Amino acid sequence: MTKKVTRREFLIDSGKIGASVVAGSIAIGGLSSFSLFEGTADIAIVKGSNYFENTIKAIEVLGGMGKFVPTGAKVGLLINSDFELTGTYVNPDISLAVVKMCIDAGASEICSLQVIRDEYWKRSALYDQYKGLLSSVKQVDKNVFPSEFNEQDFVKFDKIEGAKSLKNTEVVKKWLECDVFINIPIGKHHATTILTGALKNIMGVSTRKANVGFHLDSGVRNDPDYLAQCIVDQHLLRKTDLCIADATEFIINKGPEGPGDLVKLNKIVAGTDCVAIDAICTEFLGYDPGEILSTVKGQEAGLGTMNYKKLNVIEIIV
Amino acid sequence: MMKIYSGREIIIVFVFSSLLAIGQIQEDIKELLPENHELPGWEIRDSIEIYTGDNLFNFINGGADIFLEYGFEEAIKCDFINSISKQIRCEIYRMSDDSAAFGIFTFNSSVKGMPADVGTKALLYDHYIEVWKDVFFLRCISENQDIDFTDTLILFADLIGKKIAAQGKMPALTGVFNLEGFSVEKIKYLRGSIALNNAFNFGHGTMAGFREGITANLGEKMLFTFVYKDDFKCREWFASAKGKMQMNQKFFDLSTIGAGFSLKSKSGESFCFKPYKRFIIVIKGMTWEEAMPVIAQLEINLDKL
Repeated sequence: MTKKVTRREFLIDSGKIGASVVAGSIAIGGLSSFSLFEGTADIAIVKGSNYFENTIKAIEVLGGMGKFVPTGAKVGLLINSDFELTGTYVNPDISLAVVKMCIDAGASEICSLQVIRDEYWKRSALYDQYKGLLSSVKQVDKNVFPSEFNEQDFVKFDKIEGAKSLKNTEVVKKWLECDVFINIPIGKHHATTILTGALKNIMGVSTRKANVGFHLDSGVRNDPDYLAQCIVDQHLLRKTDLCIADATEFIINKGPEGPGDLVKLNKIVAGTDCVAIDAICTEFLGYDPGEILSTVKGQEAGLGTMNYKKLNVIEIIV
Repeated sequence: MMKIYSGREIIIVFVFSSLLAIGQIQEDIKELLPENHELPGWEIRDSIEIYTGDNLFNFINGGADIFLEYGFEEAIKCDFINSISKQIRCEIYRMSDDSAAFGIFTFNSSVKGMPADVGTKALLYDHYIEVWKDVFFLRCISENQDIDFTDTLILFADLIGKKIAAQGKMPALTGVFNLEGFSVEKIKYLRGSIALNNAFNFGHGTMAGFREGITANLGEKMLFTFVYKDDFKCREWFASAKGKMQMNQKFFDLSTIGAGFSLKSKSGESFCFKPYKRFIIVIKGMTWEEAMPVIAQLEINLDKL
């Protein structure tokens, strides 16, 4: 079920419950006007041009960050940040909002599972306002493209329980050690997988050698089927606790690096079901979710459902 | 002072240029890059990076497969910076042959590109330019999208393009789409399933095993031609494709018509498949009756290959 709520409807509904709403926005840290939906949504989609606030709204629709990040929790963030052109990386306003929400929820540690360059944060118009928060964010310094294995930061797996294709991998230790794993992809085009989103973003926790194996180790070069299965298999090592996908502005061809043709939808999609979130982002890209091998295989592996219309999806247009 | 060349020097230069032009000597990819201030005001920012073979995975974060599918040899990347710290990145890819370079150029082409007079073919976009010339695909990107560097991008691309001696030939297969009475557009030359899936997804592994292929739009309709090793392989893959299409829930109403077949997609589009010698012709968006005149012309053109 998808329920779309426009700003006007939202204001009317909010009025009914006596919430204080000013021009469709909410005061961060104050009474959540989105308590109307709090905890009821499986997937939240918030459309609007203020990406920082809309990220917070999306999480509030899901029940608030406290639902995902208990006080004292160690949080691992996987932000698709390491690209240079607009539409190829997660808008930093979204990432800043996530960091702020984790701090506000009382996280004891926030660790970026990949290196995030200063230039990335500086692309945000809110950088000066929130840069103080970034001192709270640790990062796995050695997980920078093209990353190499070391005993301190990575762990090797020679067998993945339940995996169909992935025979071995090397992943960031912190990914497995954190209490809460928040996956923050951008839903954009990828030449081989068509969509790179929540599921494929997991390649960000593995070494370059492991990732090249995803591409080449099937025995057939450039095998999209094998690649998709490896992506899904790697998810079996650790469940995603929360996923916040950037569908604000993204490339629809020449991905993942671009430059490519841009589409601007101004949408943020959040939930815990990576398969459903990928299915939604696939439709934004103009494809059928059934065409995306990682989505189909993700559903087969029990990671979620591509039939997101069966979930409670609440879309808010701000 | 004018230098007077000996006859021997002139012959050496002439022979070298001729060999370059016919592709017998490879240009050094590093030599193709503009030098410091060759374009006044622009200098190389950091080091020049060169990648070869599977090492391309360390150059392109996630997009190497498509280059490898077409046939990749080496790539070079270099950032140039001007006095106000604005940057332009130049990437040059040497592909395995001129068809491969043409293919990756067409793969990357989109309707937003405006033709530019650079290299053999070039398309100019908002903040970048892409060029095909001989065995090279090159791309110059303005990393500062707030300033219009269009003219500078063209100058960079032109400097590089002029250092490549040969023009390169379009694959012979492109001639197949010279159809009387029909105007095709958005031609894409294919070397494998990754490129095909980006043009149209027939279902994983359905249209496979081809050596090369080509696709183009005819208004809302699409034409495809796939080339196989020989007639036998073509028939094998055709039978496989027919079986997979029959099993694919996206399609229904399959009818065998002579050697070919037609079917419909759930969205209501008609598809026609016909094997011809070592080729498979596919037309999306036409009934069999509508497709017949197009197929007849395609077969005549395929006979000329």
